[in-house]
Amino acid sequence: MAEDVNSREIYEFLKTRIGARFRTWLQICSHCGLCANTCHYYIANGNEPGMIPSYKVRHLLEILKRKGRVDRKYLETVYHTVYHECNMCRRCTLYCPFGIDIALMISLLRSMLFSQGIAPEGLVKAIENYKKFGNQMAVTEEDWVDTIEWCEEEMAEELLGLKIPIDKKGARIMYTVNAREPMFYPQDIMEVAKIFHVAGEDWTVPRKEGWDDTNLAMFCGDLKTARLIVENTFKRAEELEVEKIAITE
Amino acid sequence: MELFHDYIRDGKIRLREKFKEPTTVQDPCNVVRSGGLADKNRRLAEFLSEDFRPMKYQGNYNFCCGGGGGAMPMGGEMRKYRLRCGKIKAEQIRDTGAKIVFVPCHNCIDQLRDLSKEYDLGIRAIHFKEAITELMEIPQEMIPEED
Amino acid sequence: MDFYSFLYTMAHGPLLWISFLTFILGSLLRIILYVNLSRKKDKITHQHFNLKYVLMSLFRWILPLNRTVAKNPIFTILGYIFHICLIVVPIWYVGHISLWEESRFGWTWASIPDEWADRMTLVFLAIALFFLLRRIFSRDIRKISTLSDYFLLVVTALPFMTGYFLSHATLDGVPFLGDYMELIHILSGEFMLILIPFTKLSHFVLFLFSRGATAIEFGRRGYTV
Ligand code: HEM
Ligand code: SF4
Ligand code: SF4
Repeated sequence: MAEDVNSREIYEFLKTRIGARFRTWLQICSHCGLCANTCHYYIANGNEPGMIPSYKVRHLLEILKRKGRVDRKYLETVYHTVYHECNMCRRCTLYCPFGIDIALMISLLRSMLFSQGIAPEGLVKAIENYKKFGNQMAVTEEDWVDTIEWCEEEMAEELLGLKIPIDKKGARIMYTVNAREPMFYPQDIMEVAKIFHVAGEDWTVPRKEGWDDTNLAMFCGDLKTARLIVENTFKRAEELEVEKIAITE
Repeated sequence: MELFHDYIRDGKIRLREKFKEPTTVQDPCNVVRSGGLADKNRRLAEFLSEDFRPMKYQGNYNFCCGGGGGAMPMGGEMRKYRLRCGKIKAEQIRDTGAKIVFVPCHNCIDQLRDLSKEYDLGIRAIHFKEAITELMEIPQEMIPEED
Repeated sequence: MDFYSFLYTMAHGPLLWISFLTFILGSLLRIILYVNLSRKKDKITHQHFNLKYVLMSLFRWILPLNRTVAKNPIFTILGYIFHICLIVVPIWYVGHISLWEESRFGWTWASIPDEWADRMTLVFLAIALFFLLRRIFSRDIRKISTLSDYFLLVVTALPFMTGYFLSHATLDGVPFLGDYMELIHILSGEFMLILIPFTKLSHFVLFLFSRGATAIEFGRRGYTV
């Protein structure tokens, strides 16, 4: 941990992003503990007080109080809390009398860590893939189209007339998938094709980047890449003049 | 998922049969709590099953499976934590006695399959699309002739 | 004029003004600051603004109609009683009303019977004590409590305790406390009023905004929280 942290940057980063909601939440949380038994981490760890949602966001207040003057070691603790102890599932939010959104604060802490170059390896790799290939698994456009065509051939043997239309303009629905599907679960694509076919749906899949509907950048607070991913998808939808975007599931 | 629900509701897809085994359905946080699809999720599960058993807290107030928020793609470093906190979900499923769990989320499904192994649930976790392809009636004209 | 009678005059005059004005203006300021900042930084809330969800959510939480009550019935019901007493007793206690009537405003309104005020005060104090013990002895709550949580709980309870002592002359035999109970009571009340806008006690009004923002956040997904 020789690397130093940039306190001013951290402080500025947080300060510009703390809106009225965050500020109010940090101040009015009455530490009543009603959120404790709503969190699966808390319960599954034998009602561990350190896993109370309200306790997890103490870091945010602490960092603000110290005006960002914290060390790497401290940020490692924050990392552990925000990645290993929270799924940002928002269950606690529904049970808090004030509606305090712990997950949003965790998410803010994650983006702060990201700005300091701290993020889980698995997610960072995915982000690089998004930037390079437009999807999280580094599938190239050729491979993607090949997979689709292969699925189509396989399926056509089972269902007459089945087609997976690529880049069909003016379709009603543009279908997007999880990038794990072409890599590991091509049968998922086939199943959907079957359903669409039987239902007589007018659908298509995009050829270019934008077909991956996952957004892992969001989870580690890389909002720039997160936006890029969403924009890709919407750009495709506009080009193809589709009515709706359907995501896998 | 919403689409599939509408297909079946509107009769665009007809089912040959329904699952006879007890089923339940997971409410993925991004689809349900933060997606607003709680009702359709549950109704679709009901369409497909004869013996649907809701989890305690089914719907917007359901527990997270423990694989959300990037926990699955984080890989090895997260595995220990995610299996431990998934205990709650495992118990919820065990309490329903379901043998089939519909899971409309790629993330959750990997987690649930891991949980099934870890906590010995003996369940089959499947996507809706898998379930529908298994159950749907295929129009005569689409069936290829045997040769 | 000795020190105590000076304090007494102050507490009845300028300090009273100061504390009420601080409370009112401070709370208004908090609202203005909130709205201002949220206009700038919480665009989502304003884009998706939907009064229906805000009101439905407030309705569910101001009345005990939410899931949390079912999940933690004892604590939440006590919490509701705590707040009802907290609001009702100071406003509708006959002794306070007559002070308003004698004041330059000459305002007056219906009061609750004395014995109600008495009982509610005792209930309030009992619950406050329970909250305090819970903070001290519950492993969970101790973990998330800060110094100010303890402090503010005492600050909130003090006016009630001294008010009870005052109206029942409980401690009249005790030196100092017996003589100055009225002063202590007034000062503690004023102290609380002054602190409200600047501490977590500001939740009495910011609660509306916090719930509102979250109600909108989930309302745009089509359900009430
Ligand atoms: C009408 C507006 C108010 C609402 C909706 C409200 C709501 C709440 C809620 C939800 C809690 C946390 C849960 C609980 O302890 O039951 C709480 C706690 C508390 N409130 Fe209020 N409150 C209001 C007004 C006030 C006022 C005016 C005061 C005092 C000046 C106050 C003092 C407290 C205190 C001291 C606690 C902490 C209890 C503890 O230590 O656990 N509240 N309030
Ligand atoms: S339930 Fe809300 S107010 Fe209470 S401790 Fe949790 S976050 Fe704070
Ligand atoms: S959002 Fe995080 S803290 Fe809240 S219940 Fe979910 S996992 Fe627990």
